[in-house]
Formats: sequence, structure tokens, C-alpha cells
Amino acid sequence: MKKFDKDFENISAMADGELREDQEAIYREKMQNSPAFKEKFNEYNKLKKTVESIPKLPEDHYFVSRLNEYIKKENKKTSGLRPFYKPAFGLVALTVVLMSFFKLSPEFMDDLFETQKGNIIDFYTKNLRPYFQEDELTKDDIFNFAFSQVLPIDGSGQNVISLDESGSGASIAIRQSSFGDSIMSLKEFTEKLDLDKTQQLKLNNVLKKYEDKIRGSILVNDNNTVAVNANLWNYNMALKAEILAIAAENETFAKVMPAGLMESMPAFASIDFADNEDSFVCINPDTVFVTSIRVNTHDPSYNIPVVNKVNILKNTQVKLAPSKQKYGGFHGKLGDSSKTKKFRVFVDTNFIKFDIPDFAFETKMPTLMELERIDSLVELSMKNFNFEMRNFPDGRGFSFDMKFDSLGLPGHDKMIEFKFDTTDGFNFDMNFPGKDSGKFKIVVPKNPDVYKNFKGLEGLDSLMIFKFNGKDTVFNFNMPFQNFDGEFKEFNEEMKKFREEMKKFREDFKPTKPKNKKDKKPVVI
Amino acid sequence: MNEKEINDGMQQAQNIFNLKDDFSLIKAFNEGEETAFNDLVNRHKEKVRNLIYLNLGSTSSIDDISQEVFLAVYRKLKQFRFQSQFTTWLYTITINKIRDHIRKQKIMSVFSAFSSDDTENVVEPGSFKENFDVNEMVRDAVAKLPRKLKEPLILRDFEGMSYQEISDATGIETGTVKSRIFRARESLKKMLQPWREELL
Repeated sequence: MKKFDKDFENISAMADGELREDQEAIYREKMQNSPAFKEKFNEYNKLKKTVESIPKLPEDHYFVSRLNEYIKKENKKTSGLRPFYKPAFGLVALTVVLMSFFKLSPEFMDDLFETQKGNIIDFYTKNLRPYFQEDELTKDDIFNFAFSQVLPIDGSGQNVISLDESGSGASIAIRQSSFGDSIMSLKEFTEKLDLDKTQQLKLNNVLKKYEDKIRGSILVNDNNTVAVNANLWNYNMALKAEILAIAAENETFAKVMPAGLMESMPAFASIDFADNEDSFVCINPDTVFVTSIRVNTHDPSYNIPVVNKVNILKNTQVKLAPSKQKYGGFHGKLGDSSKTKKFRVFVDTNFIKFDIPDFAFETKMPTLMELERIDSLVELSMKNFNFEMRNFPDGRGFSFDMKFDSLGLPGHDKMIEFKFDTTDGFNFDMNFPGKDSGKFKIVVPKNPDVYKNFKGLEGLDSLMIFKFNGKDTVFNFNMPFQNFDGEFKEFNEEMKKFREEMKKFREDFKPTKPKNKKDKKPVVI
Repeated sequence: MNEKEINDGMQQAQNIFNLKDDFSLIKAFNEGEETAFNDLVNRHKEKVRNLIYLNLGSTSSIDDISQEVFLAVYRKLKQFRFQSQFTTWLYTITINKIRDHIRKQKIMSVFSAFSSDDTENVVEPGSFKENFDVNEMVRDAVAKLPRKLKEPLILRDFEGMSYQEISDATGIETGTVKSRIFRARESLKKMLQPWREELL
């Protein structure tokens, strides 16, 4: 059958005149010998003629006119572009338009992003209100904050906000409290300065004024954001200055105040923080940033407590902790050149510490340098350190008086007591008296042979044990006691070192005993 | 007919009389002579229309498709490379437009219960009346052929193209053209078998 098909196919082609001459000759011969082939050839020719004879459509005389109209219409519609190119042309045109737009308006995208950022910031900073409720901060807390720079943020005092200084400048930390956090007593301050009622009232007003500022500086909201005003550092310095200004009204205290500081005291009270009071470092589990926040203190919701505010801090620490160190961004007003600046933030599961960004900390403190001298005030006073050595007549013992100028405190003539006990080595106890403590006293050992083992006071510092003992602070020294003679010069030098150690007490007049003795552990100095 | 149309007609007639070939008209058009395109259209429009008609077996879409064909010619004429007959190129475009139309019709039929082209032109041998129109019947029979067989048969028997030209126009090998024309004729013969005496 296939063979026949092939033959018939060739016969069909022959009817079309499409066979090569040699093939055609073959098939013409076959047709002569085969009526079937001949019949096929005739059949195909008839079919050809039948198809060829199909009448054509009547001529369309207006086809060209309609076609021209159609072409005009299509050209107008597509502007010479094939439909295929329309999407591509659209994309190209759109790209060109956008590029031109961004070229001419380069700030558009920045503005757009800033707007979006603004929306996010609005969410995070919505309904911020004071972390501390009214009356939650006591006068003691404020007074203590002035000098110890620590503010308890929970009832147990386990967590604090503290002002720190890092290599890069001022910083603020939210952390657990530590033994190093000294505690200042407003009561003792008042008593030692012997403030009269007017002065006490003045002091209370200062504390109240800064209580409001501190309350307004640490904000929190239900969106897990904690906002800390960068001015907290400034408030602290100004608060300290204003308290010292009241202290300076005490004549004795004033004597030891640096003259420049005394002159600049009024300036502290008149510092205007308003220009920069709205710069807040905002911390939440998602991000850390600085932005301007204006809190309406007259809003009825301003004093509504935030539930679980301590947990908010804790959760924030935990969620931010994996990054350990990150950079906060500044989200200022549009066009603010500082918006690209960043500041460092250190985070762990139990603390957050961030550098106060310079760009958010621009309040001018005209007496800042003088304020630093306050810190050296105690140091200056401590240098009025009298030391007089007296040998016992038989040359086998000694005694000395040590007198600390007590910074003009009432009863400054009171001595700090040292006690020797040489019955077993060289035991040296120094007793800082409480308010009613007595004079310096030395206990002379009855058996002078113990001095033979005295080897001097080398390593005194490293052997000194500092601990809190009852109401008073006691230093215990334990060291071998040999070759006592001729060692007093060295002892003198060691005492100078000791004076340096005493600078640790310059934190405003006198270290007080801790509120909770159990919390305090010995610290090796 | 206004004066402009009469003048245009006379110009066309003169061009044809002057036996300007297709290449000359294309060159003239490419050099900016818009009327040369009209001459080309006038020369080939009926072949194109009939080719469409025979392929579809329907007059409903002839005008639209033929306009699409010549619009494509108008837009592509500058790309014509003069390496083949204009008619071959023109029929290639026509065949492609017909195929596009059939493809669209198939898609349309998915969304409609009836396909007008298919239903209107079904040829059933037993349905012819005694006074049937032979020519119409043959045309319908050709229209009923599968597209692959119909295209080369029409181009050969109706347009008089050689196998090579058909191959160029349809994109199939000449051997395949030869085979398909043979199969088309065999199919057509079977379809027209009941009226063999009258036709063949």
C-alpha cells in the first residue's frame, strides 16, 4: 500500500508539474502500462481543475480605502508601536520618568522613608508616660541620685538606672544594682550641715523640682518602649550643683568650696534645658533610636500607670541581647543633618547601656567645668590630713594622730580612730567614727618584742581588707611585724598611699552605711 | 466617487499598465511614495481575500484578517529584503494571520457554547439538495480539510504557487508539501465521492 501511496504521491506531483524530468519519464511509462496509474493522474488533474474553478470572491473595490483608514487609525492608536512592544515601552517610559523624577527630586525617597519611619516612631512613642508614678520617687531617691548617680527603678532596688562614663563620653545604663552603688543619706546630709528650716525648705523645693524633671525623663508606654531623656545627665549635674549651693550656705563648708564654684552656683539654678528637653533615647525589643518627643504633661493619661513596666525593661533586654552591641539611629525632623548619626548601644540579658549621643545632648552647661571641681572638693579636703608620729620614750613603740578635715561638717574636729593591736603581728584597725564617735586612740602593746618581726608596710594596700563592720567602717591590716626600727619613712610613704585611698571617700563628705547590710560584701581595694 | 479617487484609480491603472513589478513598488514605497503601497494592495488584495476565504470557509472574518495582513505589510515593508517573491512573503503573513485567527477562535470557543465558524460551515454529504451548487460544495469540502493539508493545497491549486514557494510561505519542507498536497487531494476525493459523477 505504501508503495502505491508513494507512486500516487508522485503522480499527484506530476499533475502539478513538480516531478523531475527523469521521474516524470518513468511515471509516464508506468501510466502507459498501468490503467490505474493513468486513472489516478486524470483524477488528480480533475481535482485540480475543480479547486481552480472555485469561483473567487467578488472584488472589493473599497478595500484600499478602508485599509488606509484602518492603517491611520491603528497608527494613531499605537503611535507606531507594535502591541508587542507596548509593555516594554511602558516600562521603559516609566523608568525614564521615575529616573527623571528622582534626579530632579533626590530627596523624595528620603522624605518617603522618613515619613514611614515617622509612622513607625509614632507607633513606638505613642502615649508615653512617666515610668515613675507620682510620689514613687522619694526625696532620698532624688538626693541619692544627685551624688551616687543611681536611681532605683523597682521596689526592691535590684534594678537601677545609672549614669556612667565610658571611653566615648557620657552614657546611661539600665542594669542590676551592684555593691559599688553608694547610698547617700539626705537625713545625714541635713544633720551634718545643720540646715535650718529655710534651708531645708529650699532643699526640698530643689528635690521636688528635679523629681518632676526626672519623672519626665524616664518614660514608658504600652508598646514596650522605654524612653530616657538624654538630659538626665545634665539634670544630675544641675541637681548636684543646686544642692551644693544650699550646702555652701554653711559657713564652714563654704570655706572649702572652690571660689569659682561659689560664684557660679546661681547659674546652675537658671540653666535652661528647654531647648533640648525633648531628645529621648527610645528602647524597645525591636530597636533603639533617638527622637524628639514632646510629652503633654497635662494629658489626663499622663499619670496612668503602665502595667508591668519592670517586665517591659526585662523583656527588652532579653530580646535585644543577642546583638550585644548595636547602633541606635537618630530620627530627627526632616532635613536634620544629624539624622544619619548613630550611637553605640550595649545590651545583655541584664543590662542596657547606651552612649549619650552628642547630637542629642547639646544643652549648654555654662558652669560644667566648675561643676567638675565639686568632685574634687572632697579630695581637696582630704588633703588636710594631719599625721604626727610620736615614738614612745623607750623607743619600743609609737603612736600617731590622724586628723581628717571633715569638709566643714559640724564636729569636724572629731578624729578618725586608728587602733593597733600587736599582740599577734601588726594589726592595725582604723575606725571611722559615727557622729558621736570619740577621739583617735592607739593601743600600745605591752610586749614590745613583737616589733622585732616588723618588716615594714610593704604591700600594705594589697593586704588591707575593707569591710563594713556594724555602723562604722573598719579597715583591717594584717601583716608580719619584724624589724620595726627605721621603717617609719616607708610608713610615711605608705600613708600617703593611704591618703590616696581615702579619695574613695570623696563621694560627698562621707560614705554612709548601707541600708541593707546583707547586700554588701567585702570589696578588695 | 470624487475627483481624487478617480485620479488615484487612474494612477493605479497606469501603474499596472506600466507593469511595475512588486519590487519596484516596494522600493517606491520605501522611498516615500505612499501610493505605491496602494498599488501593491490593489494587485494582491483579492488573492489574499480568497486565500483567507478558502482557508476559513467563511466570509465573516475576511475583511478583518485581510486588513491585518496588509497593516502588517505596511509596517514591515521597510524590512523586506528582496530575497524572495513578494507574494511568498505576503502569503506567509496571510497564513500566519489565518493561523492566529483560528487560534483565537479556538480560545473563544472555550468560553462560548457555539462556534459560529464551525457550525455554519459543516459539510455533510447527505445534506445537499438536488439543486446543489457544485462550486460551493467544493469550497466547503476544501474548508473542511485539516489545516495542514488545506494550506498547501489552496496555495498550489488556487494560487498557483510552486512547491518551493509553498515551502517558503508555510515553513515546511518541499517533500512535506508534496506529501500533504497528495493527502489533501485524496481526502477531498473521498469527501466528494457521492458526487463523483458530477464533479470528477
